[in-house]
Amino acid sequence: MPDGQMRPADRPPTLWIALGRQRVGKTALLNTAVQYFRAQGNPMRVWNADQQNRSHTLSMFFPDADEVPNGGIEDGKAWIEARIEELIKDRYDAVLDVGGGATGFSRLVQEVPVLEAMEGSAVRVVGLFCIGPEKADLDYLEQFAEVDRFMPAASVIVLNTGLVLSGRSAGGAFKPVLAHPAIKSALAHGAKVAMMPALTCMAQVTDRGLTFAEAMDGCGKDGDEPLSLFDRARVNRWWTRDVPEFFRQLPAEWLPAAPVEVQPSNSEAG
Amino acid sequence: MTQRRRDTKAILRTVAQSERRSPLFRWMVDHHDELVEASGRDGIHWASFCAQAAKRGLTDTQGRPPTADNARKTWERARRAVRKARAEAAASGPKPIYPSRTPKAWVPPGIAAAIAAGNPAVEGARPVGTGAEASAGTALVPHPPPPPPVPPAGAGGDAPFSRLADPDDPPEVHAAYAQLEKQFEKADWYLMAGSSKKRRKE
Repeated sequence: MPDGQMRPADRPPTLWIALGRQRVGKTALLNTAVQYFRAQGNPMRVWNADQQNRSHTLSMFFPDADEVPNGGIEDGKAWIEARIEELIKDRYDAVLDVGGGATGFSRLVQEVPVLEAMEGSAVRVVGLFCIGPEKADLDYLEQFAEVDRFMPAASVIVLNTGLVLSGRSAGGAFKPVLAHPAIKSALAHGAKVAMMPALTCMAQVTDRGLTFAEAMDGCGKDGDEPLSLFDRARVNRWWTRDVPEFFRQLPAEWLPAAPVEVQPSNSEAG
Repeated sequence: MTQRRRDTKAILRTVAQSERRSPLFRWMVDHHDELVEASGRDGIHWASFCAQAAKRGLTDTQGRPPTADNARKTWERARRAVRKARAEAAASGPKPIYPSRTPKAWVPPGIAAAIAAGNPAVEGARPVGTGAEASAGTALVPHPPPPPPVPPAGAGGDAPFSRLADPDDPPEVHAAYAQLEKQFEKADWYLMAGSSKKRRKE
């Protein structure tokens, strides 16, 4: 658990929402986050509202994920609304994958001030704006920030280095998007920017339906071969070093809580 | 020796060292001024000259001792070559002066005129050098601009600055991008197989 992470008693429940156009790594980010924080002992809930994809969704990685029923945008909107009300009532941490394109979530934020309602109910909403090195990746950030007015006080612009073409430097690839006023405006209003580390064999892990711990340990599933020796080493380095560093970039109070550890009191010890 | 004379000498040396020229011609170019002076009003007695030249190995282009007629014609060519070389040196104008050879008292012509005219634009010009070297008669250069103000410690004086941001961007942007730069550097070591040259290029 990153240093300084707060305990549940000290903090409001956290809802992480990944936003961005398709194929920018929203699901990969949330998959990583849930595996990471669950491994730390936080039983955070997983909401899969991605109505466009049926493979490589959070439901594939987490059998206990709540999944949006098949239907249209209105159904998706109603489903998300119900989940949020439940979270406000039951006070737990969760992640929400809204998917790309026109979604029930985007319809919801256009209709009602979702952010104000949640933050007014003492829920910490963390917006994770996932972008790659293309300027078009900023469309969602601009849309949510300027048109829909959905820009949580806790917002993170996640630069996915996994989308940088081979042979390019990350700095050179992201330079054009970092010059964009949408990012600078967000940063000036308190957003953070963080670099999601690349895992070159990510597809080999997710195609096998493996957790990162399983991939690292050389497990196979459903008769699939385990990862090669070098890919296992790559996952090991990424999972045990790069991913914790990534989450350490974020303010501790924006992270899902660590479980409260039961400490024996003096009287019990005596 | 003045700069112009040095230039003329250099050109004459080039003329004299041409392989197509005879030893007699080269000697005449080298000793042009002396020969002119020695000849005086009476001119040169070429038979005597050729006897002395033969003793000193000053031959014609064929390596033979010069004849009087041959020597006279060679002298005419040598004088023409020297005249031409000196005319070219004079036409080429003054050579640039290397900073190390710039005289301490040198002042750019425009500045000198402005100082002489009391132009307020050069007010604040100061003599080159410090202490004892400084004097009103030496070259004057404008005062350097004052250094930028240094913010007091704890008031943003140690605020990070990033090349990825514009100088006018707010400190939050500079701070975030400065942090990113470090991460990019680290990530690129893996993405680009440690090729620092390529990273710098991008």
